[in-house]
Amino acid sequence: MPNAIFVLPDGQRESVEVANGTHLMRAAVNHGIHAIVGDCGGSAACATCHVYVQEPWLQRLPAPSATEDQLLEATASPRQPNSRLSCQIQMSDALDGIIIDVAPTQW
Amino acid sequence: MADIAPAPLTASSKPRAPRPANVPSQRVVEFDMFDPPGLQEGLHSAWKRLQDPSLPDLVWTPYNGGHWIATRGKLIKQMFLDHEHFSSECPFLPREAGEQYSFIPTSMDPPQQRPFRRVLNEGIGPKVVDRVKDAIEQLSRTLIADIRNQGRCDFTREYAEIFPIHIFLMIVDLPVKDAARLKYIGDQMTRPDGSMSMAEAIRAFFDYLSPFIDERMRTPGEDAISIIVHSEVNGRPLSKDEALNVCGLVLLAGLDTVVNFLSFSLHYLATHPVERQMLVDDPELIPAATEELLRRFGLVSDARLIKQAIHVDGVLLQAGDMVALPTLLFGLDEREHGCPMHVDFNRADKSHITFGHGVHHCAGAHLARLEVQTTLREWLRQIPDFEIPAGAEIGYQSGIVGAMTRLPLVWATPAAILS
Ligand code: HEM
Repeated sequence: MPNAIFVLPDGQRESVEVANGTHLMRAAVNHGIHAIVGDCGGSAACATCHVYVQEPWLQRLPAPSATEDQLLEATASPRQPNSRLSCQIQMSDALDGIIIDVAPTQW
Repeated sequence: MADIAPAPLTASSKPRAPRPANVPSQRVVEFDMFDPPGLQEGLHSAWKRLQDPSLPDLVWTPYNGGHWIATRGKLIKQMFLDHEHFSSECPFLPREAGEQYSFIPTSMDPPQQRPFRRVLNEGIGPKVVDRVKDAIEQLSRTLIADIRNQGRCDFTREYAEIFPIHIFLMIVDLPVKDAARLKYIGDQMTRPDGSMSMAEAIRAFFDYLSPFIDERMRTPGEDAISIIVHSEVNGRPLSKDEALNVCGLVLLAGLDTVVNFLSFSLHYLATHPVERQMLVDDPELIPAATEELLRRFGLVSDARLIKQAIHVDGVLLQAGDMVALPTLLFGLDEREHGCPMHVDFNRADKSHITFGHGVHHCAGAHLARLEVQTTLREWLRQIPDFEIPAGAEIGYQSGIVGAMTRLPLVWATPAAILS
């Protein structure tokens, strides 16, 4: 199974095996990573699963949808060029090893 | 689906509202959501009739004050996301009941609703739930061990109505002895039997909660109510009235949902030995199976109030109209899932909106998933083989939350196997 590495706001690194097709928000919540909230359950309505995706994985992601782009305008932590909502990132072999910095605040 | 005859929707004996001018006659169906035709054969098959190919995606029923029903997954999702037109101000049907309904934040729209979600997350979110994980496993194991030697049980009464309520009362730190009374009041909100109005049921919750809230405002513990009453919204403390309305909601949501979902799940496993054996042989499959069961056995049907006129599916919805959004119809829609009535734990796409969609997505979903997965794991470990006794009757109820009122199960006890 491909791996995702979540870097928590306190600097701790959590490596999580994520099945292909699973969204990173759900993988994180199921794994007890509470720095990712996922308040709307992945329906792209809340922006509480905000993450910063490192290269080279960032460029392998499909561009954000209009809805995601709009939500990223209203995140609690500042939006950066590599800001994404982890509920919109689906695991795949191409993303194996992906390193994601979890935004320091989600509300 | 071949196994469901497109039976006609027949009339309920309840009063019927006259058809308003904006409702074309070909949109009218005879569907009482609290007593739908065909309910005796099953909750889901009864609702599934609304997806008969002859019916449009948006229909109107004269029952319960007269309201629209969105019947297809895509439309249901669209309405859940568009809170500007489809407001939670009146989230329950019939409308008179929904208007008395004051719980927070289910009856709020963004942006007002948002800060309360943070409060909910602190009170009953994953962080809190993960802390009580061991207690959840322990209780499930003990309850099933007690039932196991009987060789039979009414699963609904002896497990489903006990386990989640007990867990929940532990999280909010309320006396377990009050479970039956609280469940009765909650049921009057989601499947009223006429003995109490919505306003009376809410009042009964508040009268019950009020002294606990006062006490925890003074001396907080570590429970969810203490966390909620001591949290802040928009930089100020929660008022007593807000605390009552948030805690009231948590109580209602925690008492009536997992209970019913567990009965639907066990009913499925009792009647499908091959799939059951798959989970016995490979408990690792249980989280995936839980998602598939959630897809197939959704149960909540709440509603939205139309705030501004809008054209949808070729008809004009007027401000003041109500629309039912049955979450259970998303998973049953063949436009979303192939062979939707068939349960397949290995289905690649198990997407569902059983926990709702959009900003009101269930705040207790993490707890609910953990309770279901734990129950399946423990039950199948201790009672891998069980069935419904021949001739036994299953009881179904429909409403804001669909229910199974009776689920008799039998199995061979270790003593019986030895003798
Ligand atoms: C299988 C079990 C469950 C199901 C199917 C379920 C389903 C739902 C649905 C469909 C909604 C959305 C309502 C709307 O949009 O108006 C919701 C909201 C909610 N649920 Fe659940 N639920 C379950 C278990 C729980 C549990 C165990 C709790 C709490 C302990 C809970 C707490 C809540 C709360 C607080 C909300 C309101 C969120 C808001 O309005 O923003 N639920 N649930």
